[in-house]
Amino acid sequence: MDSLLALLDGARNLLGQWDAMLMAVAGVALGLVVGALPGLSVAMGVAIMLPFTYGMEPLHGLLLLSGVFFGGVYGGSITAILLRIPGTPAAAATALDGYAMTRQGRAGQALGVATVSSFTGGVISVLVLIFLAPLLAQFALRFSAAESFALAVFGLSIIASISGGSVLKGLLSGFAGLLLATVGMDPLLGLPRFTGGMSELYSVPFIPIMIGLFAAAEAFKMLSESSHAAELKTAIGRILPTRETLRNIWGTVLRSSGIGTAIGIIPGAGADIAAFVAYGEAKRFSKAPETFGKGAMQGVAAAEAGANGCTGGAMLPMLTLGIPGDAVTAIMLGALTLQGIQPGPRLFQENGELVFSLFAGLLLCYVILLVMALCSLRYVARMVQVPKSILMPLIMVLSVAGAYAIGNSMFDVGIMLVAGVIGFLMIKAGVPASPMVLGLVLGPMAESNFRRALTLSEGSYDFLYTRPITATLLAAALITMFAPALSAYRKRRRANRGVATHPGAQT
Amino acid sequence: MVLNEKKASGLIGLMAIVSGIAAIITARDFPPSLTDTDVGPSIFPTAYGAILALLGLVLFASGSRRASKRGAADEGSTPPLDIAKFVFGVVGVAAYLWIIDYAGFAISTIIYLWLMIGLMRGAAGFRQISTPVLAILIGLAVYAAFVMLLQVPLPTGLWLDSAA
Repeated sequence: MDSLLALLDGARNLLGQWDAMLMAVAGVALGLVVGALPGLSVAMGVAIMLPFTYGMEPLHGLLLLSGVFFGGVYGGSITAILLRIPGTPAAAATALDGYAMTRQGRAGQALGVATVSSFTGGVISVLVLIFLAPLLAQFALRFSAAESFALAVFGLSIIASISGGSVLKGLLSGFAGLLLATVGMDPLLGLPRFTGGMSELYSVPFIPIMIGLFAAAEAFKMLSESSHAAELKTAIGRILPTRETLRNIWGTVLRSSGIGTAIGIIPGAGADIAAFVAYGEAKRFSKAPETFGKGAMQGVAAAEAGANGCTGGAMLPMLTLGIPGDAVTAIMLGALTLQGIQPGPRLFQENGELVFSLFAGLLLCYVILLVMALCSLRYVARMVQVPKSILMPLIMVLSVAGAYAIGNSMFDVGIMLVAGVIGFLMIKAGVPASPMVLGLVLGPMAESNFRRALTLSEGSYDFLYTRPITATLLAAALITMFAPALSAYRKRRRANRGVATHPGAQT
Repeated sequence: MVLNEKKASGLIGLMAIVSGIAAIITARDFPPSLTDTDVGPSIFPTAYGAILALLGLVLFASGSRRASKRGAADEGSTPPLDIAKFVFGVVGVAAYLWIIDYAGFAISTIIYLWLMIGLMRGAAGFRQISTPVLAILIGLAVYAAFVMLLQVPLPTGLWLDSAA
């Protein structure tokens, strides 16, 4: 009830700021384009827009970034449906049935189903965020340095789960981020570390590194790819779903939205996992599972509701605990810090009005997304034809200007370029960038709280196992860290056993 | 010369080893803690550096082992990249940043955009009238967005400063 009243106050506050609502509109529009353009990730879109928020009011900046986030996650489905080119990894699940529908001449229906499902998934996840966030923040208020350290370790443990193909490469990326996070002033003694006497390095240049890793690296990657744009040859037709279509998908949409939201709350599990899990569940529940992959509209609905259901869920640990679940929320956490706002349990006490205005704004973003998508899908679909010969230099110029804008310093631009080169090599080596970002964000939190807890316990390490919440979080971290390796080992053993039992099966 | 996943992994592994060892050596010079209850400023960087170097070594070694097992067949497993293109891209941006100091953001950006769009469009890129038009329009739009909309003072350059 308190949350509802606070939300109404937030909505009233938001309605009084037309320019904040304009930022939400701009963010969603940009997100749609970024998501629809293959090769441009949502993280890249948010990283590029981050410097634009520097001079803005916190609410304006956060709505712009949230709009890019939401629009981007949805935008990926447009090219997935029309061209079988997923704009984002999550949209790969949408492409399975979406493109089949396009080939059957049902492109408009697929786009309409994707839009309505994304809207529903997103709104449900934001509602869960609104009502769960204050409760979680209230609980987290009990945390002292020991619990905060354990929380940071738990956040870091998800590196293994966001490593993609190789745990080794993910860990390497994560530890590189942790080491990088030690550059600057020592959190307790205030002594410079690894600064080489340069005052610019007294704090880690977090945002230029982000822009380099996600934007400049992508621009370098584009240089090596073909500059031919995908060609759209399909007639789209009616987009607005009919009543019968809605009746056919509503069950799938609600179930998938719930799955997406739950997965979003788990740090490290992103929209791609949510989309595929929701798709799998929809197929399992379906009366005609054989139609999946051949143009089942429930397949499109499940993937989109799952992916967008993730968005509000992913913001929950970021806002209440200060733990980003993925690269996008890590960048948004950077945006909050840039505005002088510290995410975490105290956020609701110190900036309650801002938080609930933001929540109202997040709901507004999804309403804007629904309207904008239904009205402008045809034009967005044509934008994918922007050639890379224009996109690549544009991204680079925005990266340079964005990195400079943070501190009016060419030093930051140099850092951005170095991060871009390293980020490009990481892409080529298959080393994910997200663990590095997580290490960068959570490294200082882990170190400073560990040392504080140690000082408070007068040099005794007892706090690691005598405090229930700390011990539980550390145990959860151990499980999270070793679960992927254990599962991979089991799979390998099962496969080896299969080969040993049926030697002929190998051929 | 091409850069595939194997070579890039080796390079990243090598960079991790060097960074990790450099961090351990540098952290040895950090002053000790003032109290007995604090582990001091060097413990965390040393631990991270050691683990990073170890992971880099494993990545480097596993890459070499895989390479010797698979031989030349592995070369084509990931899309190759012309290293010259990448080096050109990096040098291009570095030159762009260098020129910004002298010519300012607006002029340097237009020149950079014109060159990059022209080169990426292929042989006929510079002959198309749309190339300079796009360069000017995009360059001015970015400049206006930052300077007028966001009130961020982008560099005006030494030449313009001295002329003023």
